[in-house]
Amino acid sequence: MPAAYGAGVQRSMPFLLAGGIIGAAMRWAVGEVLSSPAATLLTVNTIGCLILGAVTVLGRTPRPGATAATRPSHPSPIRLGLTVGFCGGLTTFSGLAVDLMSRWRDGTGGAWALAASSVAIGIAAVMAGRSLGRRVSWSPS
Amino acid sequence: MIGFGAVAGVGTLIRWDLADRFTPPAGTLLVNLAGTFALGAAAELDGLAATLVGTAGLGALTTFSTVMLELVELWAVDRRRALAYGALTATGGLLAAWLGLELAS
Repeated sequence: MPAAYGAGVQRSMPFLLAGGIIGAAMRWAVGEVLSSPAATLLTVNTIGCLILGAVTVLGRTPRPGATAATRPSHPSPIRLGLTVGFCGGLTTFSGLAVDLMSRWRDGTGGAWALAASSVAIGIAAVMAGRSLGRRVSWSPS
Repeated sequence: MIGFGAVAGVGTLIRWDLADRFTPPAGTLLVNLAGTFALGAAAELDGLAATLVGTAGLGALTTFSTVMLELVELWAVDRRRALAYGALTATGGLLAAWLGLELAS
């Protein structure tokens, strides 16, 4: 585990685990309900991008040039649980990449449409989440 | 159900740990490429094994939302780096999936 977190690790761990497990379970449940891999991937990835964009800016003054490298390295356990835990567990990159490559290999089609819509909607969802998050006054510290 | 939670939890913790060991976004790239290769290699699994390894473990290990956030944030400070990261993630991800699927078939 990140050594720099020290005692904070123990406080963050339950939030990370809960977030990751709930996110992954929700992705599984969406897959069961929608039963279409493409619809499932687009749904979970879009919701995850929207929430991640929003939670990342909550309670933070917009600073041009803020990136993961310059953000505070000690996010609160709740923020960590929502971002790295929940959004990370809900969204999936491996599922998307393998689905795209399987379509291409099997000649099932739809690979380009799914790839393009995933990226376009994903970026739009992050940006929408960020602008929504800036209107919220609550902050997970 | 306990198995699903345990595996998804481990995937989340490994992603968190690796992300912290590298300068962003290198950790994200690493878990995504490794997880994609493994998911391709696990393509022949079905039923409970596919749910545990693919949906819970590798699904939780890899992340799409972080990639999108990192791209948006990087674009604001260094467009060339953002483009390079996006291109590496896309080509590397497809290559990793292809290699994994080749191994499985």
